[in-house]
Parts: sequence; C-alpha cells; structure tokens
Amino acid sequence: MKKAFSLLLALLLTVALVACGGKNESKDTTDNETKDTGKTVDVTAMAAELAEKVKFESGEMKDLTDKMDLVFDLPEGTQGAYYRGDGETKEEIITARCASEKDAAALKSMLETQVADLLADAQRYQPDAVPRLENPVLIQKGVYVALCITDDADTAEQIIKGYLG
Amino acid sequence: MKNAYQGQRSSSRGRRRRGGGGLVAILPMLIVCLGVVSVLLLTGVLGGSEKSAAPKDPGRQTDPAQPTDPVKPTDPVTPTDPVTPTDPVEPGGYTRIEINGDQEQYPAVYRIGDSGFEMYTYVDSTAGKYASAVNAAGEKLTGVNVYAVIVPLSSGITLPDDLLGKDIFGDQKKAEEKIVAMLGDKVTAVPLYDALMSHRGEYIYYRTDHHWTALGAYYGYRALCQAQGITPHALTDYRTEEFPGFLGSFYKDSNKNEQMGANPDTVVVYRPVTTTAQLVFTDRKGQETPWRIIYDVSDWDSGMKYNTFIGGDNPFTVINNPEVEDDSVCVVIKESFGNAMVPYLVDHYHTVYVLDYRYWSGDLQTFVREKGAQDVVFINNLSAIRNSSLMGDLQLMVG
Repeated sequence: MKKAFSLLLALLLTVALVACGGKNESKDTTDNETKDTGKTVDVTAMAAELAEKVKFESGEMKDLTDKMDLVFDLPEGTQGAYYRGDGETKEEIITARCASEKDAAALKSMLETQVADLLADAQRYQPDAVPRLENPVLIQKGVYVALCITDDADTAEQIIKGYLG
Repeated sequence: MKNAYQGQRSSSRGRRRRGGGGLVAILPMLIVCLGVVSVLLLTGVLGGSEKSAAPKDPGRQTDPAQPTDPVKPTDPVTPTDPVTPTDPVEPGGYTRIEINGDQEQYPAVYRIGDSGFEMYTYVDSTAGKYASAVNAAGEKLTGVNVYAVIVPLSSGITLPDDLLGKDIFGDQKKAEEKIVAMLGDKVTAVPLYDALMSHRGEYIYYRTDHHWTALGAYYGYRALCQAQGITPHALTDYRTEEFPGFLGSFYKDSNKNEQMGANPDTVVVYRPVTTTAQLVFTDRKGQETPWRIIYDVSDWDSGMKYNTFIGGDNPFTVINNPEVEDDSVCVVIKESFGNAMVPYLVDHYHTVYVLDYRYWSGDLQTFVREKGAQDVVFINNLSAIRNSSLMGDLQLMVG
C-alpha cells in the first residue's frame, strides 16, 4: 500500500515536471515559429516605402511615428511606424512588429476598430473618403501588422506582401 | 520490573519501526509533489486554462450590455411594440416624453415617427483618451483657463422615456459622470446633461439630424458662462431668423424616410449681438475666405442647412469683434457640435479662434501661446468621445 502510494506520488511528480518542460518547449516552439516566419522585417522601411510609392490623395504623407503612442494603445514591446495624410482624406499607414503573434492579433483587431470609427465619421463628414475606408489594406502575418488606407490599394498590398511574404 | 511507561514505549517503538520509517520517506515527496502541482495549477499548465493567463484585450472595454459595433451595416430591424426598457427611467422632475410614432432601427439611426436618434455606446478606453488629451492641455497651458464642454446626444436627452436605458441607448448621464471624473483639476468640466434635460421639452435637437439646435447650444453657452463666472446674454438679446426645410443626417441614414421628409426641421438661428464682427475661415485646401458668422442658407440644399453656423467644418476659423475693446482671446477646439455654440462666444471676446481638431494639424500649445489666449474651450459631443480615431486626432493636436 505504501509502495503503491509512493509510486503514485512519484508518478504525479514526474507528470508535473514533464508538463513544465512541455510548456517551455511550446514557448520555444512559438519563438522559433515567430523567427522562422520572419526573416526579420524592417517595419520602418516598409512604412517609408508605402509612403513613397503608393498614390495618396493627400500628396505627401506625414511621418508621425514619434507620436504613435499618443494615438494608439500599442501592446507592450511593439515597434512601429505611422504616417498620416491630411485629416480630410483619412489616409494612414501603420506598420508594426509586436512581441508575440497574440499581440499582433490584438493590434489588428484594434486597427479594425480604428478603421470602423474613421468610416463612421467619414460617412457623416467626408463622403469622398468612404470608399477607401471600406477597403483598407490590413494584413497580419506572425508578429507583423500593416495597415494602409488608400485608393491605391493594389500597390499597397503588393508592397506589404513583398515584406511580409 | 518494567514500569507501564517503559512497556508502552517499547511497544510503540516497535509500532513506529514497523510503519514510521515509510511515512518519513513519503512525507517530503508528498509535500514537494503537492507544491509543484499547486504551482502548475495556478499557472494554468495543467487543465488547459490558458485563457485565464491571457492578457486583457488592450482594445475596447465596453459596457457589457452594449453592442461592440453599432455602425456595422445590418438589415433594418423593427422591434415589436410595446418596448420594455431594461432600466426604468427616473424622470427626476424632467418633462416626460412619450413614444409618438412607429419605430425602425437602421444601421446608423433609430427612428421613432419623424424623429431620428443615434444609438450610443460608452467606450471607456476612448473616453480615457479624451480625458488624457484635455488634461494634457490643462497641464501644458499654465495660466490659461481650460474648459471641457461635453455635449450629450438627442438619444440621451429627448429620446422617449420608455426607451431611455434600452441597450442600444447607453446611459449618457453615467457616461458624462465617468468622463468628468477622469478630468483633472487643471480643467473646468462643463457637463450639460442636467442643463439640457431641464429643457428637453423644447426644440433643442433636430429630429432629422444628429446635431443640437442653436437653442440647445444656447443652453450649453449658458452653462459655460456659469462655469466662467460671466453673465450670459438673454435669448431675447439676439435677432432670430429661421431657415426651414432642413433634412439632415438622420434623413439620409433612414433611407430618406417619408415621415421625416414630410416634416423637415427648421434651423432657427440667433445672430450675435455684435453687428461688426468679421469671420475668416481657412478651408481644407488652405484657402482663406471671409464669411458670415450666421449665413443665410435659405436657398441651400436641404441637407446643408446646419452649415449656417460659422461656415461649417473648416480646419481654422478666426472671428474678430471690434466691439470688444480688449485683448481677450478664446480658442475653441471642436467638431461640428461646436459650430452652433461659437456664435454666442463672439460677443464676449475680441478674438475667437476655432480649430477643428479633425483637420487642423498644428500644435495647440504653440498656437495658444502665440495668440495670447486666456481661455481654451473644448466643445465635444459624446459620439465623438467614443470614437477612437477622433480621440487620436485630439491627442495629436494637444501633443
């Protein structure tokens, strides 16, 4: 009886230790997957290329990366870039590298809300901006997220996919 | 002879020898095992409880009863009558308003007869952004009086009592209280819920449009004056004019509802007491245009008549009143609800600057210092305050 009990405890302890090791392994796997999905992407370069090569009605897109934290509640550890056109056009570029895929998914969800809010305002006050807000280019791949609001969606999508794969 | 104790000791020693050695061996293992299992359960490794360890959604925090996206297009839903509110309304002595007409819900408006009402959801995160921006202005603009005028929507004031508190119409009094509670001591809050509720039987909101009327804005102006400690003009001090035939945003949102079309709004205006004030606005293309504070929109398209006020939504507007012979300057930061309130301020300042934060791209602190403003007045409606994009614009402006 005592031996059986001892064996049971030992087994339980072993299972617990294996579970710990299993969690660590999955974390490593996640990290590896993240790294493997990337080739590391330069999100700043991606945003700059979008600002340069995509046609925007605003003309020049303003680099507001240093104020990105004011506008967006970014997940901790996120690095990104932010460009904006004039307020009437609602044109925007946001590129980001998050600390995890989960954070990237959360950021994508937040940006979907952002676009919906932009659309709600445009429907009342800037009807010309509505078509581009109804068709934003919003892509998440692994830890990376990119949003581009523009009428030139094809070019934007091509550039983003060139970086993210 | 062995004493009884010795006899007992020897027999118990014997018993311990038989069973106690095993217990001593098992006990540490048991303790370690239980400790490890407890730790693992708490961290969610065992039992698949990864959800419990997940971080909170960094995005919206909404009232549990509210829909998350009231603007998403859906087929119109006609609720069955009678409507049972989830939270009975305490009139608090205010005029009671009854449901008067058929009801229909569209993606962006709820119609009762010939009147539209905007569905409303309080969003704590974006309210926090609003408060953060206004508080930052209060902190940075030392020596300047910063006011925050918070304007409820018609769905919080003139909505029939039996619908107030229905889940698509969030409680705007509570929303206002939460927002005011977020404002710091460098900002003077000017909440308008009670002021407007006490006049809810009057024509203070358009039926076919989401804006308040000039009369509603007048009560907002009075509340601001009270906060500023100045005496407002009486309504009878102003020359009035009427522009009938206004069919605004709700008319469009309700697919040009026949009842609204048959009973359009009338834009009643109250011209400033001053007759010599001059307005110039800078439009979105950067062109400066002299304009009137109240423009005769009699012949304008039925959907455009709210633009009678200060030339509509322009990034930058300046109004000079030579009849105020001091250097008083007020800077108003607004979206479109502010347009109807600005004309009342013209009589109190030598210069009023009006900045629409959605389109103006300057730095507020720099601007206020350059212009030597004594007062900065934020005029923002609750629909804007729940819009994350707009509140991001406001934060960019304040910096």
